[in-house]
Amino acid sequence: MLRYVFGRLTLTVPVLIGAAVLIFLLMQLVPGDAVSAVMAGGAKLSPEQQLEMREALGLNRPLVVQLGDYLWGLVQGDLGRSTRSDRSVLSLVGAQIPSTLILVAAGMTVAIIIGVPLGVLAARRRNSFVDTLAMGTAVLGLSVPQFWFGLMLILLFAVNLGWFPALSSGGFDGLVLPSVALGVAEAAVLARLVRSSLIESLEQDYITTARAKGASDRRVTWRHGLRNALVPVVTMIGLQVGNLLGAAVVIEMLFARQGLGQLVVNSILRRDLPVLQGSILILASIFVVINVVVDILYKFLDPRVKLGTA
Amino acid sequence: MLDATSAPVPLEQTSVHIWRRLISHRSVVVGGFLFLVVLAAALFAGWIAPYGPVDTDPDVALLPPSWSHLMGTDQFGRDVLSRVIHGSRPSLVMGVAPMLISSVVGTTLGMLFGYYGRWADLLLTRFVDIALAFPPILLALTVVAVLGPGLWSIALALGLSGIPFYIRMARGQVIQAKEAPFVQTAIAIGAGDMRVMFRHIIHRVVPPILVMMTIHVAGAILAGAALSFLGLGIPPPSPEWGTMIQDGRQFIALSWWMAFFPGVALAVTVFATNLLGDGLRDVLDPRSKGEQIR
Repeated sequence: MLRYVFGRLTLTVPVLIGAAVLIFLLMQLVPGDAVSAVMAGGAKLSPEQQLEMREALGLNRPLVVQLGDYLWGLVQGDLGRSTRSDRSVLSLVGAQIPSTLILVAAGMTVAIIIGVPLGVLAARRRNSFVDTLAMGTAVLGLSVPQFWFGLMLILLFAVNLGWFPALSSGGFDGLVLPSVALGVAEAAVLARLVRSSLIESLEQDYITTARAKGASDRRVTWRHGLRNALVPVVTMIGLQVGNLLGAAVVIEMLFARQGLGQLVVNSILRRDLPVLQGSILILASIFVVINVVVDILYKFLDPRVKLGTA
Repeated sequence: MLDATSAPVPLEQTSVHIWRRLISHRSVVVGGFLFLVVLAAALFAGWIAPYGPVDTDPDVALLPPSWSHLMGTDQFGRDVLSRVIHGSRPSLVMGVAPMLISSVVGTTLGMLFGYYGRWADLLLTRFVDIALAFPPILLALTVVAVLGPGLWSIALALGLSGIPFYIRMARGQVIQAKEAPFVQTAIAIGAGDMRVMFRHIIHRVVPPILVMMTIHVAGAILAGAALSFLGLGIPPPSPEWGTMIQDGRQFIALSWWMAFFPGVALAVTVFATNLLGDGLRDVLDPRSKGEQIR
């Protein structure tokens, strides 16, 4: 088992390096460089000063050298400096990560609390009115834009009822509406998957055996059926965290909530490329690491999956 | 033409049969109808819309829905209904254009590399792994940052970020199909690569790709609207649903209709496309569970 975990972890290294290279190259395609970004910010530089600054920042060197430098910096935990505030990207990103991770975790919790029971209900009453209604709601939940749904939540629960704040300033109260806005679409995805997966697993021989032993319907569904149906669901949850990390960017802007979303969008609008580059890379790394954790969980959940082969 | 190397086509896969099952599938009928309504709105926006989408009239600013303005008016006195109708155009572009870019590029690459294999395939697979390490909307966001805001840069960004999903799907299907006995037979009796690929393997690739394309349109419309909501889309005053919701956000306590109706239009369009995709999957590719590209 330990060997598997270690093997799986080492496999992420090339992916992370690749991600860093990809994002570095993308940034090279942006018209203008750090110096023109500083000038766009209002600084007046003579052509000589611009040359000097390019020299100092190493922007005159060949691309490969700059890339190597960037990667070497990453290894040492250096993500570069903001062109706007002169703070290090790592400190800027680090300050915002907790808020975003809390939001994503809360959103995923909402998704699981709504999605799994809904899927189980639909599977147990397959082809009934309840099933049609649950799955219809699920497709609808998939189709409603999260940022609009969030805005409607603000309208109802903040503007009209006054139960929750319209802007999320942190704290539990401010977390409720954004995490519901974030979680409902993923709940729909989960409900559909739980349903189809549970229906499949309820047709297996061991379910017949469990029923023959006289286990109650409830016990058969939750203990024998769902446990096995959860294997693909866990994989899906891993992928969903990626969606949530992306969607959180938008939801944070909607609720004016502190987090990587604000940082990313503001860095685009202010053309602060090192910050954008660093934030996206950190978000991608979180996603990669979560998927490794899911992969490892997968082996725990399903003993049929062979160990040793990474 | 009789062809000894062709796979026998089972009755349930003939095109007539598939067509019949499609037009009798509830999701396909409902989704298709709703989608046609949106398409008609986009095509005939100029005739249907009661007012011009950018015509301002300060005298009627922020009016609630009434008979003269069914969806109310915005802060400049523009008719929300007319803007919602015209807003279907950019939304459809942001849904369909990325789907076309990703499906054509991704499927071609996936089929070619899956078929010919070797080191290039290995390289492509690694590239797909890396690209999939980014949540798609963040990759799109980065590309928009590179290209600058606008409708076409959003379309291109979403198109690029969707490519790896098609590569993975097409490649997987080709590798599976290559092992099938009838394909091996075709290769053994000397059928050329192109013939094997376009006569024998393509049948396996097309159904799941078609399903993916439909669901991708839904995801791209949502992602495009989200990027516009963030202020990276078409500059004002052109009507676009995501931007309209952003405008409405500032007036949410005062005039809910500004944000409400564009969101409904967005949800209906995406709902229609998702229903179509679900129906297509039931008929064409019942075993797959489908994957969202968002």
